[in-house]
Amino acid sequence: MAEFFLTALQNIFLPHSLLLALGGVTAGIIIGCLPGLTATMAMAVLVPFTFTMNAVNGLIMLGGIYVGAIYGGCISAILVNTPGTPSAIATTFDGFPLAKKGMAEHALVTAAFASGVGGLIGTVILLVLSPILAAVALKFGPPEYFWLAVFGLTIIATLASDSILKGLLGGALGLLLGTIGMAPLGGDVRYTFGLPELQAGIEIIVALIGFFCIPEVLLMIENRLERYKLAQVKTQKGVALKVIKELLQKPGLLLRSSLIGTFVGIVPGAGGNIAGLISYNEAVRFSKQPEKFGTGIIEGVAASEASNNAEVGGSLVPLLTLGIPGGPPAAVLLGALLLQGMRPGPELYVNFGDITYTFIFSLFISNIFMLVLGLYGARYFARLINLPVNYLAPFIVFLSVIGSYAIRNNMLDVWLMLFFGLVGYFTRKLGLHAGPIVLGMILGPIAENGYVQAVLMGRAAGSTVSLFFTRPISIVLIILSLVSALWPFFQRKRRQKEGVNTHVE
Amino acid sequence: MWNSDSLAGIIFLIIGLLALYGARELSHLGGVFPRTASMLVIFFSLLLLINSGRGGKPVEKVKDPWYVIIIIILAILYIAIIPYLGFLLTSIIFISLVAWMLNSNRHGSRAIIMAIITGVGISFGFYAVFSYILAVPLPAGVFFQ
Amino acid sequence: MFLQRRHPVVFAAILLIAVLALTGCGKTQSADKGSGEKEQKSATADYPEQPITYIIPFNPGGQSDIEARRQQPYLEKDLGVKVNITYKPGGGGATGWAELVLAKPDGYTLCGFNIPHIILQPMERGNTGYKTEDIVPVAVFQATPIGLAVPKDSQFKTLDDFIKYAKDNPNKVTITGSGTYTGHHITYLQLQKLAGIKMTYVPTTGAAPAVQNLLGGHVQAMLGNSNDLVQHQDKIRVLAMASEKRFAALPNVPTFKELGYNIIESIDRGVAVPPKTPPEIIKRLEKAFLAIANNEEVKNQQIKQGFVPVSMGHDEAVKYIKTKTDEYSKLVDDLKATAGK
Repeated sequence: MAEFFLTALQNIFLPHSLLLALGGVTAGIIIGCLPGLTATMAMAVLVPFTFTMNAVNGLIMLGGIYVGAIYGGCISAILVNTPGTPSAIATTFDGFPLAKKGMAEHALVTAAFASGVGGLIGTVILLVLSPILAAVALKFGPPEYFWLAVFGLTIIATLASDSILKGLLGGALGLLLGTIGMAPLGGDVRYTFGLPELQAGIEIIVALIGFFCIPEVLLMIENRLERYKLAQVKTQKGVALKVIKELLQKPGLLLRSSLIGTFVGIVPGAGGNIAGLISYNEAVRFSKQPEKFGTGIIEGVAASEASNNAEVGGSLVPLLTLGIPGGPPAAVLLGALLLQGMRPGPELYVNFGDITYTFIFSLFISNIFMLVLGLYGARYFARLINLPVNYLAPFIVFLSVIGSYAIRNNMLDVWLMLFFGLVGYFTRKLGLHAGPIVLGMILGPIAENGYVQAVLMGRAAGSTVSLFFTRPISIVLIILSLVSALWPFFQRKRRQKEGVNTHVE
Repeated sequence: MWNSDSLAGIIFLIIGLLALYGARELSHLGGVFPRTASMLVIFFSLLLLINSGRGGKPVEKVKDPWYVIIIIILAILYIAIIPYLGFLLTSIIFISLVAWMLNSNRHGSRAIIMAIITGVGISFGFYAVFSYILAVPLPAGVFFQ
Repeated sequence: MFLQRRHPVVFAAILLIAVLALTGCGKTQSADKGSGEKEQKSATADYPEQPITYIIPFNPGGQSDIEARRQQPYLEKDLGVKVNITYKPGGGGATGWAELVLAKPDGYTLCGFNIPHIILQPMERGNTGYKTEDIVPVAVFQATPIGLAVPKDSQFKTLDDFIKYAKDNPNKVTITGSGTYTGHHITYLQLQKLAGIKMTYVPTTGAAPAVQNLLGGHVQAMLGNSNDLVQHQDKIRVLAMASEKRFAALPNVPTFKELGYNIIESIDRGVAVPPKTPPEIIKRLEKAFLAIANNEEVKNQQIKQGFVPVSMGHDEAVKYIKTKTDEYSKLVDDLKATAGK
């Protein structure tokens, strides 16, 4: 194995390797920051170009795109509250409020730095711990997926800090929307209103753009006269250094988020979106000032971005060791590997060791490029938000239309996006926020698939209850869910007590 | 009497009931989630309604409702017209029109010219990126095929 | 505010236009089909002149995608135009096929299709958005026979072990496969009937989660595509293949037929065009795809990855689909009657 390390180190510093990584990361960032275009799409489009290159170069480029795109999603998340890729959903929670406070550059720098750190940690774990972690990944069966989704849903309790009831209602609505389409078993088709396009259910990106973006645009239009004053925010100097210093004082936050991201990435089917959300939730729980989350603090952005880039490394663990992709972009990589005649598994590390290790090492390089590009680009991206509303608003609507169309070349998706946008705007006025709804839509299908399969397994084994409640990973997840769901209540009690104490003094 | 809690409660109560009704013919395993989700929606809506009596937040007002409505209608028209005039042309029209309308200094030819330049620039630029670099076929419109 | 004085009239006018536009929307599709006829006669002579869209009705990275990516460079060389692969996943392929049948029959829209999916889906599901007869096949170029696999450390060493255990423990054996009323599910139903056993089928959305279920030991057996079986052969034991003859890449695995159970199932993949596509265009495309299907290098690659190379042209494919449709229609009725779903 050590011989491979040496070869790999030599390979990645070759000029064409560096160029490919840089090119891939740049392309990835551009695609990632456009809502509607995902890392998966970007990689799939570029796979044919990799035929003309040899395997290593193709993989280096695809890896760069993956890394860049997952980072790129934060740019639109911060500037216009629309996650450029689903991994950046949690970045909107604090990223956009920061931008509204005039601190967009702070948010962007935080995202770049956190993404870089997360990505590097994820890659280290990929390099060192793959075999062990792959075995853990396999232990995730249908009951574990169900409880993982339930755990994800408890995050609603954290997100809906102002009105728990509305948050829960939003989550339930999301669950309901997630059931649209084919059932996992039995071929029932639900709530499609006779439209065959809905057999597949609602594309999550359509809902993301609709619920997150359109209401903001409409609000922007409502407040357009006031915004002209905001646009005069001057760019400050030395933001990057200040932010980095602050983040380095919280190594625990970055480390924890990265570990969460890597681990979530290892579980096939759980992608960057879930990684970001869980990490955000944990950041709130571990924080000494949890109430500040959501108002625009860099810790929120750091938690989400570190974990979603760590997830990249994590998703490659089951891919390279088992041939099971950890997420959709990894599935494209699988296709690319197979087309080059490389079978994932131990064979990859032995027979194709030089290629595999070069690829993994190239991820380090790609993450560094991404970090640097992000840090330097931050102040330019941040200026975008200073555009006057009359240009910004139609531009965003334009991007929403082209983005929702690009998913599967279907005008219905564009109509759905607008429909959700209007619904989201309306529910906003009623006090229901988009986060819990989208959470329900993403986690509902995962929970349902897990539930149905587990029930079938349970029936065969004779006891459904024991299947759901007695497996070790399930137990861990159940405990995590309970803690996460009840945390806000303990929080409130503790704060009330402290409030009483300070009052008395 | 009508605050955000009660309004949300009523609306989603109805939606939940409709959803539950829509799930009536589903098989046991195929319908468990739709039914559970509908019931959760109904349950939380009822709780909200009950809670609204204690005085919830008022419904957030829409500032400048006419502007918002016009933009919504223009967006609907935009999407509706794309299959006819094609993505490129419709986008140019939409962006230019809205950019001009929202401009508080919209009088005078300068404003109109700036709006059109923005519309053309953005539309062409992104059309090129999507069509040629990303190979995403965008609707060409009935007249141009 | 420019609406202040005249707003009711302007508002009403805009609303009227909006309503007209929305009702006009529904007519787009039929307008497209109608004008197609006259253009076709002149278009076929120089076909192809524009880029071709090759729709994959599944997610990237899957079997159909891999095959399409393999074909892409050859197609572009042969046809002289760019071939753009786009993905329209959903409904087990149904979303893509529903769109295919509505596309213009000018040869610039192709779509990968799967047998038995296009046969079973309209048969079993209510409104899939397409009918089997509307999918006009250009060629079939790949097949993955279905096989029964268990983990390497499983107690089942042969198919007989497996069936014996299943007979003694009705409904206890968990066997996973992709989807309901798909090739995998039908294989499961046939096995139950022919072996006289009752098992529990655990459906997944897609082949990868099924493999995951098996490798993780969450289920006892899996019905999977041959290429997945080949890919993971170090970790699994394939008990039998549902093919006519022994599968080349796994020569030690007996066929169901050998062992006395007449089950032949595979997922066949091809490419199709919308109904009413002119025969000259179909012929041209057929030529291009069959050239690839008969290419030795392509065939070798396919075999190595666990696919079975197939080379069926338009007429052959139409006949094949019809035969299979009759077969499945009888089979499904029969299975439903005995198994009671």
